[in-house]
Amino acid sequence: MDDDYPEYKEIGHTADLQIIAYGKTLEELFLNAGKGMYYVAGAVLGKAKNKSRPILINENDPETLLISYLEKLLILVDRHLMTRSPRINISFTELSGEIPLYSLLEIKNEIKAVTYHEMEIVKVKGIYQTKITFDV
Amino acid sequence: MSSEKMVEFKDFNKINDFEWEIPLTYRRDMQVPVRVFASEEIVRQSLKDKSIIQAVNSSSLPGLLNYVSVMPDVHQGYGFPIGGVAATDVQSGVISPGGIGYDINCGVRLLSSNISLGEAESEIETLSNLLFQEVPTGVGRGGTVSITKKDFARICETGSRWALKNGFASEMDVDLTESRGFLEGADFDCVSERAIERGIKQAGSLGSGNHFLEVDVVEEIFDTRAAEAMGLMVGNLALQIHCGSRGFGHQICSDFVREFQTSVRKYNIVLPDRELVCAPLQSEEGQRYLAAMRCAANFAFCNRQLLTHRARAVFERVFEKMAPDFHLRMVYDLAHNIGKIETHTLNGKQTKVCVHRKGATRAFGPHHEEIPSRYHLIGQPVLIPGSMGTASWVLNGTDTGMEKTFGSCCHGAGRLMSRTQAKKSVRGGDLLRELRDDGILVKAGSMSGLAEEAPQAYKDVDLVIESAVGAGLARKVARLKPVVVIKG
Repeated sequence: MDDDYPEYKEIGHTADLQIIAYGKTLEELFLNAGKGMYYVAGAVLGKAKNKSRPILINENDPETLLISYLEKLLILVDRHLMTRSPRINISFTELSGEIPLYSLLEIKNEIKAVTYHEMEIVKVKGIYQTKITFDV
Repeated sequence: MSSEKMVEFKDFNKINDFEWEIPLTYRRDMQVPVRVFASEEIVRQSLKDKSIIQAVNSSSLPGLLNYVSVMPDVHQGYGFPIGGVAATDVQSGVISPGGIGYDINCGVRLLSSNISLGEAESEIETLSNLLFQEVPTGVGRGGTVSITKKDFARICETGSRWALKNGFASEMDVDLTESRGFLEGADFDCVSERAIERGIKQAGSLGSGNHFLEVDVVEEIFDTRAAEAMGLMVGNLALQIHCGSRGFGHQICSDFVREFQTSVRKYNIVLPDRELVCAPLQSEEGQRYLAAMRCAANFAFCNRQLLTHRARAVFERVFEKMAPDFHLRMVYDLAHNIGKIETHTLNGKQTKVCVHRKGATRAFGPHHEEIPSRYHLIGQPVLIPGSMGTASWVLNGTDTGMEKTFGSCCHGAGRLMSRTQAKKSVRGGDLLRELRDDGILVKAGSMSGLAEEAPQAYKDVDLVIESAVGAGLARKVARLKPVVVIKG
């Protein structure tokens, strides 16, 4: 795969919702995974809140780190908040950064959990990718 | 060893027309065989997704007993398939959150009424509007009952008993709920703050996804004695409520699936799928999960009771003038996603086991001490909702089920089509009109959500029932036809 890769794409899963997220770096993969999650949830971004929230997550492996990151975004959704263009740095199993806050205007599907199902962060021709399955 | 190798039809040994086994020799890491209880047609259909390989993966858990049972409504989940039953030894076995599912104690309850569709026909539209208005459904809707954290803890630790104490249930409601609406050993201290935050505002709410509230008419009765005991009469209305522990159960499952990623390393357990993670049942973390899972199970029992209270008030408002002696009585309430410590006969010996039922119902046969007295002679009612345009079934448990599947049966029709595929091939508005033409009123918060749950996205529930009955796991009691469907 070269530079021409999607941010994410939705794929079929019998009972739930599944995407593949892509990124040249782990940071980009995580950001695209967040965008993909918002897409399948049908989340609509509102106005900027002009404030941001620091984020710091430590986990044992990159997949668990991704799940924890997406769960942080779901906590925001519960509070009627979203983010756009968060600034994150990933150092193997630690994620740190700042999450700018926006209001959440609407959400169509409730994402109830982010699962490990078929999740494996791999690098294919220089591009990180992983499947992510959401329990709905 | 590869968890990705797909099972083929030739890998099964046929035991009889409704029982098929994948032997231990299929893969080195299997601890027990996998046994599918279904017709050949359903077995072949189930090979189209990953459900059977997921059952094979599940058979690698330590301490499993007999075999992993697969129900005829099986479809792909994660970790375990949906429609799977696995029992582990309580001393040497494990407990796996993925074997119970994210929506802990997702379940269904059925209530019978003494009003016929003929008598009620003119009020059905009003009934559907009021139910949709009064019962909180859909994404992000809070519950009907405002509770404190102390109340929430009591709900988690006492289940439907909290509803009884606070005027939301009758003694009969509680008595006719699986485990009488309360699992002992729930410990609120084992639940995370995040789980509490998600659950506390959702008491008395239906939620979204495949959850529903459905008014049915009893279309046909197959066992008069059993139907009579359940209060079901041909032509009369009945109510089904399908929902679970909402975000609370999902968070508990997520918390422990994550924690157990470390536990499997600690206990040197090698598994082919990270969603299968587990801990020894007797370990500190295994016991903590069990106590937290029971909190979610109790919350779900209470949640369905709170919804019942709300729906009952609507029914009474609509029908009390028309039928002064109107009632909506509990038939039964049972769990689809649960882990229970039960005693079963294995090789002639009474053995304590931890039964994981994921997308499977308990289906105890006659005379079991856990069954309410009114069902002692006929066996436990087994409630099988179909999809929104098709029949639902009432069955009862059998002795054969006790021997073959740890007293378990299927839980629904089982999905056939992915949500994405269903949305592509069905338009919510068209479906709404088609169902209306068939005499089924549907109220839904979202048209795309409705399309995802279209009848064509599911297997033919009648074929699933023929397999369950053919395998001897249950017997037919009654068939219900939907009249009003309220979707989340």
